[in-house]
Amino acid sequence: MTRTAVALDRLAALLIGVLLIVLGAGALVWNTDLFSDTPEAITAPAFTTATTEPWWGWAMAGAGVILLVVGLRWLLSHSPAQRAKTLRLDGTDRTGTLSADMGAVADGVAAALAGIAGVQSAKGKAIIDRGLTTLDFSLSVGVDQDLGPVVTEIDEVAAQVPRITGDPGIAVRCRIHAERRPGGHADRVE
Amino acid sequence: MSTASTGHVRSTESAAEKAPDTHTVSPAAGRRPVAAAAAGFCGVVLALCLMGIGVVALRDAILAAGWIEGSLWTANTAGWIDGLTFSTWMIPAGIGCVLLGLGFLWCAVKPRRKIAVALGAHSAVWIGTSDLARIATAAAQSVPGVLRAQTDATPSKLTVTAITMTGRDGSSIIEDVSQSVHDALTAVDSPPKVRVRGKRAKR
Repeated sequence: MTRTAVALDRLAALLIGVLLIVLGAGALVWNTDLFSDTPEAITAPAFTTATTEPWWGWAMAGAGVILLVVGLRWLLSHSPAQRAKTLRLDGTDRTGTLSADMGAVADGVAAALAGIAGVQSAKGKAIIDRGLTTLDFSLSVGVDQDLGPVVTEIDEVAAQVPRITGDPGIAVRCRIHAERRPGGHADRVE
Repeated sequence: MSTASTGHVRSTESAAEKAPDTHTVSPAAGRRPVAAAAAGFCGVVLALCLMGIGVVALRDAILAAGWIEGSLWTANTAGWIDGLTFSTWMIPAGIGCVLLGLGFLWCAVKPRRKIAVALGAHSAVWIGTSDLARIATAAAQSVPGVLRAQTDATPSKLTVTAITMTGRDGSSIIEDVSQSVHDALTAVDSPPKVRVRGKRAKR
């Protein structure tokens, strides 16, 4: 999810939350003496009349299409982090473009990480994480593995990335996973 | 385009992004892993509601065009709202609306949950809270006298429950387990608090 999508979700949740609280509070105080000018009944003559107009069907068609498209687009914004595809390299000019496949760069670095002593496997992908182009790696180690030497070697591999990409602005993130022992008890995480 | 020789680290998180020494070139640090935002769930629900309303609108449009028979649901809704007076069902419905609204408000402002802690590295190296729990459990189980162990973990606290043999002194086992877990977590930049509870195995 992009930061824009998260911000939109938060804003929508805020607005709907306030609307529901106002509606609920209105229903609760309707039949009380807290407010002197509460109406006996709700009236919506304009709404009722509008539904009988000949243009109502067209309005519903337009609104239906817009709501479906907006809803679908909103739903699709909840997909996982967007992949970073290509990296523009130095040397690009009017005569041509030089670019690198970010996925291939991630695979190459992951292969180097997989070669670290104690690392059982490593996978990499290039993503745009909250606006930051990131090479994201997932490394598996044994649960008894001493992490200190592994981290030192990860630093050495990560230090190669700016030289490979030519862009120190491309972020690197490694996540270490400790593999559970077969038959081990499940731990609880909050 | 900037070059790699600057050794610059873009700082977005405090723990994992230490300034590199003069001999180390570090890439920019990736952002801290976090769980999906609670508001994302609300977003999915609201998007589905929006699409549902859209389907109702299209159904009424088709009905208005005369392609199907029936009554307009939007007209029925308008007729129901117009002239609506207070009814007792509005009390529980109002309470439900307020509670649901508070839930939406909570989701809107709730920060994304941290699911990993930083390891002491120049680059951004993280380990998941669940992985820390596994490491702590393994460390506890490596102590002589511990039959099995289980760990409850948050990014700031690990609670290790060790089931111990009846033959050994309980307090010394707990000290050993605590030491073993601390030793296993030395690579963590800011190790979580570790609490060890000992339980005697049933005979």
